[in-house]
Amino acid sequence: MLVKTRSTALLGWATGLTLGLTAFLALFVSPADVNQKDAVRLLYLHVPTAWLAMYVSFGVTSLASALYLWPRTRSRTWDLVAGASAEIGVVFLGLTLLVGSIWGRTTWGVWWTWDARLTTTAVLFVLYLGYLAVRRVVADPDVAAKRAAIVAIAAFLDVPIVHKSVEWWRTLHQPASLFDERRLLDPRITGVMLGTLLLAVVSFTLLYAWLLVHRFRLAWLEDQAADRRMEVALAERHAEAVLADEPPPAPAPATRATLEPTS
Amino acid sequence: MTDVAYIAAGYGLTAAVLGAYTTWVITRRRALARTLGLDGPSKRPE
Amino acid sequence: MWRDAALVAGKDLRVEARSRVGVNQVVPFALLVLVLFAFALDSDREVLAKVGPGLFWVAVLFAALLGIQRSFVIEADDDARDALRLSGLDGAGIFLGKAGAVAVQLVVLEVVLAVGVVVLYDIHLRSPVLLLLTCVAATVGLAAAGTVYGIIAAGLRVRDTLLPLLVLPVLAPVLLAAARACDAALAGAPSDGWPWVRLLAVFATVYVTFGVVAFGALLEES
Repeated sequence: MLVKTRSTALLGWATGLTLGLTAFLALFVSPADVNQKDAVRLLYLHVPTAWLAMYVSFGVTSLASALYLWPRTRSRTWDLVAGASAEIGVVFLGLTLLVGSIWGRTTWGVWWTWDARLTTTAVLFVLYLGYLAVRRVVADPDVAAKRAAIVAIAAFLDVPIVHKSVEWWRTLHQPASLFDERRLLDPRITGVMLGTLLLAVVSFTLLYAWLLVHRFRLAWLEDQAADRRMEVALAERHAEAVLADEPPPAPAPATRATLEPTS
Repeated sequence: MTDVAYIAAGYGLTAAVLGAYTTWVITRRRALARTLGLDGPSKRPE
Repeated sequence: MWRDAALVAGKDLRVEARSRVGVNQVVPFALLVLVLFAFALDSDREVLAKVGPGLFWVAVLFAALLGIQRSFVIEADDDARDALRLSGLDGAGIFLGKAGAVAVQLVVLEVVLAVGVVVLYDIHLRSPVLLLLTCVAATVGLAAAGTVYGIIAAGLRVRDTLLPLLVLPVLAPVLLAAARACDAALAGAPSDGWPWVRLLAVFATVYVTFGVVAFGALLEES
């Protein structure tokens, strides 16, 4: 599946290069925004991590979970992919919240605000932390995998509801705030800024893919290690049982000889 | 804090977190591979 | 399926009636939460009246957590869960029964809390239809989603601390919607509240369906 180390290395180099180029463009080449000034440079980090985490990463987790639950496609691989993708998603989402918070401090003057998107993102973050917590509980691996997959699906079902409810909450009685993030990410931005943003998205996507490959391998190895520990434990238990069942030594031949009639 | 400092903090934090996570994944994978004597998945594991 | 549900619900409610944990512990706990909020918010009359609906639903949410945990604790003794699995009862029926029992207990709690909120926070109830439907929709959603996560957590050893972490983010929209709907009702603007009730209905439908479909499989695994 994700075997060839050479293509992975290639992916890694591509990731590093595009990320470096993005950082260069974002920090030195692209212009400061009319409204936000230099703070816009943080958005080149914040937007890609948000999109990658919410749509790609958790989408993959949900899909892999569904594939694991579906009897015809059930395979340990899907469970491992789901877990790996979720972990990367949580890291990205955490970064989204961190960088977003710093950006908010720069533009709005506050570290946090109960804006619809931020709130939904925060709830999503905790939802997937819960998913990771379920994966970590020690239990029969198949049981744990099945439950984790169900948690992933249940979380996935909740996301649109959370999103919708929070959106209503923030817009029903309050006009769209001046600091609406969407307004600042005007799709009519052009030129260098758009190019940088697109490059940023591409480079973070590559980063996600590269991390997924490595995290999956790690998960697979951990799985193997757990299996091996189980085998060792079973072998030890078996050895103990055999020793306990050993029959007492056979009667000494001398006894039989004494019973034999002398000819 | 000036704007530049915030931006530096943002980029620095991102780099640090991603770097730490990447390092953790790769280091642990190498360590486990060595212990188990394996190279990684060579076929679809069941 | 419905007959199985009634059987299981009846069993759970009978257990509750005999042990009286809900009446003796959960309801007082919820009332205590209301009182503590008054302490925390400096018992300013206007503030309490304003945040009353939100506090009401927070108290219900915490009490629901206790109710759900209890719903599965009673199965843990004497291998009752195995008996449940082997009983031949339909998984969906068991889900509906357990969720139903939790819902009934929540309704009783809500009635008591409503009295508490009216008395302690000096709130005047208006738009009763909206309030009633909000409570029904929210309760069904809480019970259904809670029961699904309850069985997930019940099979794993760290049940007690895991359940809140898993289920509270999921129930967050219920808290939000129910509180806003009640806000609208008490402010005499019920038209603002109906969209929230619709959201609660969607949530309830999603999680009841999910529970009916998934519960059998989950029960097998524990």
